[in-house]
Amino acid sequence: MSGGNADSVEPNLTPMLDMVFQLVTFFMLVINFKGASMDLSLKLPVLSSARPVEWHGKKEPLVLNLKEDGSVTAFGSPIPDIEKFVVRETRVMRDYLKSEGATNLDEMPIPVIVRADGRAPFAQVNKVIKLCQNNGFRQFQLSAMSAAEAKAP
Amino acid sequence: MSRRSFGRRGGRSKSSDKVDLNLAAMLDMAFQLLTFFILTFRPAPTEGQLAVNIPTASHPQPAPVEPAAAPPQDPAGPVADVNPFETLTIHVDANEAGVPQRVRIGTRVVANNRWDEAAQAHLSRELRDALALGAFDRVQIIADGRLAYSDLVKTVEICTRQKLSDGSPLHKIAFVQRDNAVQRDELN
Repeated sequence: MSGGNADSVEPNLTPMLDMVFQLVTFFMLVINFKGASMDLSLKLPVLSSARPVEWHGKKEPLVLNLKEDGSVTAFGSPIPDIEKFVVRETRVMRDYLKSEGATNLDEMPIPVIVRADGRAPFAQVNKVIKLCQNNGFRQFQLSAMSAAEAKAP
Repeated sequence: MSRRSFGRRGGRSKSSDKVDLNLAAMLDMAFQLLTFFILTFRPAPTEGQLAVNIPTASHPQPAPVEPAAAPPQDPAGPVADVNPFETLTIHVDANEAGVPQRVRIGTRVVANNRWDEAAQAHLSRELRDALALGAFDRVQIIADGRLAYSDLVKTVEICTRQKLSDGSPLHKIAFVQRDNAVQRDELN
């Protein structure tokens, strides 16, 4: 029978550590924090001319998800009072822009991304858009799936 | 460092001086990080956006019924409403299911009881001709509240494909919700 320490077998953990670090690096690179603001259960309309908009170096837009029944969610949470929510978000954005030296904030330089279900009635979408307009938003991005993306399995 | 320690170090063979890092702790941490990233990984589909500048509507109230709007127009009729705001109006009436039933540019009917690709292409052509007049710099979509969002953005897409008379793309598109009662009266 062999004696204790001298015969203990220690696996070489270095290759496993290398592989795990490579996996961690991969997931760090592909992680999408913006996805948290999107309600992936929505069935967006399909448009051939919808193109992804890049926001590098620009202010983060306000993302509003509108379900078929007209209820609104933002960052995964339902918004019971959309009016209060938009007013609060606008105030936070204005304070931030003022701290950065912006002066004329009658028209917000930040766009609103409206992610509405394709079956949502126009009345509900218009209500949300009007609320944003009343708070100074003029630039809107209407979300849709591109035709190629919709065909993908 | 003491002299003794130097002595000890120098006195040992190379193999006995080898420092073994305890990789198990680092591996534990790496696995925890990996678990976090795997659990929070949600591949979001690439989606696009239609960029529009939505000014406040020039008609805050439902648009008045235009007498010439009810019957289908004769081809020689007016092509579009010219108003002081230089706004071209597109009326979209929808049925109970939210599908466009009739689409008009001003008083000119461009789609009636159908909303297929041919009707959309017709709307695009009529819109192009109307904008070529040079009197408009924005479009106002007056739509039924029941209109499905997918058909609304389809109309917006047709608008954003158009060019103004100066060659710049059309981006100013306003929305107005139409009173259902007004629409029913018109359709009857």
